[in-house]
Amino acid sequence: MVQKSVSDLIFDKFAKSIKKDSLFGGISDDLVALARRKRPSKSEIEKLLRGKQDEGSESGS
Amino acid sequence: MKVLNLEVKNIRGIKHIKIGSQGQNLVVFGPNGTGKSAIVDAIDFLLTGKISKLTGEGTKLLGLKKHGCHIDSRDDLKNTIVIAKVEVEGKEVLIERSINRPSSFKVKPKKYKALVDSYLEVATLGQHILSRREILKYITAEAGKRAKEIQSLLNLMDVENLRATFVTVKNEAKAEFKNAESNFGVTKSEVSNLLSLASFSEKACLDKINELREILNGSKIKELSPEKIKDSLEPHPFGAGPEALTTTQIENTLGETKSLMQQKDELIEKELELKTLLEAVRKEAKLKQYSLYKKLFEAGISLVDASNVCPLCGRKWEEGDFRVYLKEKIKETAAGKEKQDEIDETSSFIKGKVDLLKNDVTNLVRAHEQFDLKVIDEEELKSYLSLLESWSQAMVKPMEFFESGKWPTSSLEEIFGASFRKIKMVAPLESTLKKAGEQFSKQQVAWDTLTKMEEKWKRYQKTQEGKNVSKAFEKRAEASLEYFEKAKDSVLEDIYDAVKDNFNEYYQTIHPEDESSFASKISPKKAQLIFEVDFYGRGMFPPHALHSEGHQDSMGLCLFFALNKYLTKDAIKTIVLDDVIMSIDRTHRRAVCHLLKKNFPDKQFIITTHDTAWAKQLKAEGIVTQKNMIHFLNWNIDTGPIFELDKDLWDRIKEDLDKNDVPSAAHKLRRDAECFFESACDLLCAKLRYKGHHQWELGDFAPAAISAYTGYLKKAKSNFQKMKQENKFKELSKLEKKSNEIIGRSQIEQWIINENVHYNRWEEFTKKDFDPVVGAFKALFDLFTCSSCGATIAMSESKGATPKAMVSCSCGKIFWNIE
Repeated sequence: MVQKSVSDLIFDKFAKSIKKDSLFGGISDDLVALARRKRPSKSEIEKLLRGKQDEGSESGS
Repeated sequence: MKVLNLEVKNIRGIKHIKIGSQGQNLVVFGPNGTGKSAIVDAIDFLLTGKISKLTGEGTKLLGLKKHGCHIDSRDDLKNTIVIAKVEVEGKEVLIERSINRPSSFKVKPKKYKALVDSYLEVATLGQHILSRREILKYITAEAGKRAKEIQSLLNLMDVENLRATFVTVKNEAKAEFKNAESNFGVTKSEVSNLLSLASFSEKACLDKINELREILNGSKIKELSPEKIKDSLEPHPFGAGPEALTTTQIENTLGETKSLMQQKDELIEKELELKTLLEAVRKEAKLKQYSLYKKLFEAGISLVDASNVCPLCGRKWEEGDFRVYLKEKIKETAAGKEKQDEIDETSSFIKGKVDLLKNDVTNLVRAHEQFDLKVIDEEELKSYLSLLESWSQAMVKPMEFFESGKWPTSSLEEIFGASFRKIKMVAPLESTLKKAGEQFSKQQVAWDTLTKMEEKWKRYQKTQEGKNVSKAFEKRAEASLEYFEKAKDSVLEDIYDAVKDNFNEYYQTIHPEDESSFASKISPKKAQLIFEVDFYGRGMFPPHALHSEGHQDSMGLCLFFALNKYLTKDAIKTIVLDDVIMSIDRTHRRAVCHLLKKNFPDKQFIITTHDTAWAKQLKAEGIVTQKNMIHFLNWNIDTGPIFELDKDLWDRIKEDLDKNDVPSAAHKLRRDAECFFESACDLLCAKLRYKGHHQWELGDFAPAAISAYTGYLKKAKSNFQKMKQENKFKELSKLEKKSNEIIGRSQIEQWIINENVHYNRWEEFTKKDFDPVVGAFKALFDLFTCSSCGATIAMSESKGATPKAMVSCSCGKIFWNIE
């Protein structure tokens, strides 16, 4: 009776791709864990994908 | 898991009912409003803790506790119970659930709780009941809605929410990068204006810094950093001061502003170009989805071989080389990508210029303040800056602004022309600068510039880092979405492939003659689920576009079975079909019976229907036995359904005769004989005398069925003789002799039954009179019924170029060639 749900199968494939891509070096585990969590917020994903906290910048003299 | 017996107390229209099925198929039949669906609701509630018809669209005002119980039990929810003995992995287990606490259930023996839990978890998918409502969900729903229904079945709502979040993050990352890139451009322009650079480069900056350091007798520096700019320099008095703009800065800013104004024609062209691109994409939805299509066609090319068969629909491509066609399609998608790239490039170009102008105007306003020139109209300035801001924002998400009608109200021609001139800031400033002349020494200007450069370089570094971080963020956001969609599509396509194959097989079983080359396509597309079916080789269409209602019902049934097979993995063996095949004709219903027997021999079907003929057909086809047919006769609010459990006819007659109640026995015999021979006529394609009033009775059905039977038997016997199958010939000869005797007996005494029922002269008959009649009819029924499978024999034709007629039962024990 123990079987993987469709969501689990999707997350497994997603994790495999993310972990292979050097673009996600250092954040892949956190991203996969976040994706598997029920309803992760947009800001959490953004923060993780941004890698660093971007403080933004305004131009002017 | 199969239901062995069921007890329902105070659920929906039921007060109290006990039904035993021993894990076999069950048919609940009777007129509308007799409480049949309450049985479905009770099973639904037992397995899921919910009643699906009280959930979903249009049920906001409905609730389980208020409307799931019998109307008189709303204040006594403890007594609203469903108890079932079920069979799980060979064990008999009792499950009990009450509306009082719907989310929990009791299991006896308790040691099987975990086992039952695991099965009921599968049941929460709700994929064990099919009603007309569900058929509509799958067949006539729009792609987006269908996707939601299926996603809900597959528990994919969280997956879909995450995909939507990734899409939002990707769009925000793209917008953020555009802003960061523009900020970086403005900072470079600020540095260029401060240092009077013809074009910006880090080397040009370093060279200029060293020139200024030389004026202040400083040594050259090799690397540019805020800390090193004034490193080891003697402090020098300020000229204009650290806050004020230098004359050079103002002059360069004026120069840059004028240069921007001169670029007006180019910007007008860019605006037109951008609008044309946006209009083209808006008109052609495919251009928006270029990446998805590109992937599809690329996958197609990798899968197609010389056979030219489409990997999606499985049909042969007749119009030339399929790979050439796919390559052309890829070119088309390349055009879409090109357009999107052009939009990005053009909007970024415009944004860069607009932001630069906005920054220049802000700096020139500061210069006006520095010289105390009070010539600028504040309102005009405010409105102008607001226009620049609206363009700056629109260029971040041009398609969104274009489609939503939030496009800037003023054109770039006005912004880089008339509107700018209205602020009147250039001429007064130029004249003031001319009058002022050189106010400060070279050293003061150098010190002022280097001091400002410290701050500018910090900003340069920060905006550069911001741009890099935004770029990485954009790339990761794009990749995350792409990987996620790929993972989702790949998993779902595998599932849909499996579902589609089963769906096609089931559908062809129901429609073997007219849909033998039937094909379907189920494919996820972003947030939609496309479901299309072949229409007699003329192309793929939505299932409800061209097919008849009967065909749609068949499709709904088959899609349900296919999804059930995938989702429940055979864990829940009970399938409830709630009045679902009403649009299917009798011939195709027989094919449905064939499907149930052939493809789902281990399932337990609980079928409700208001159609007595369908109920009887299910029995005649061997789907259900007599004892598992429950006839709901009526319903009232105090008692619930009034029903009778159909006992074996002969047992019921015997019960009546044991009580010496001949009239009841005769009534039962007549009623059932009429139904039996009506069904036999249908199954044997018997010739019936036509009646204008369409009211046939036993006297019409029985002779017609018997005539067909004897004719077929004679033909089959003759064929066996021709084929020299002596044993079979002897067997049928013996059967013919026996049947003649039985038919003879029943015909002689049929008048008794007719007379009895028609004229109600029951008091004149005794048990002794009636016993031989019952015996004769039982023997007559047996002639038409297979002793192994219990099904009534039926006439059918074999497939092939020269179809052959035959008479057979469900299990094949009876098989007569009547060609």
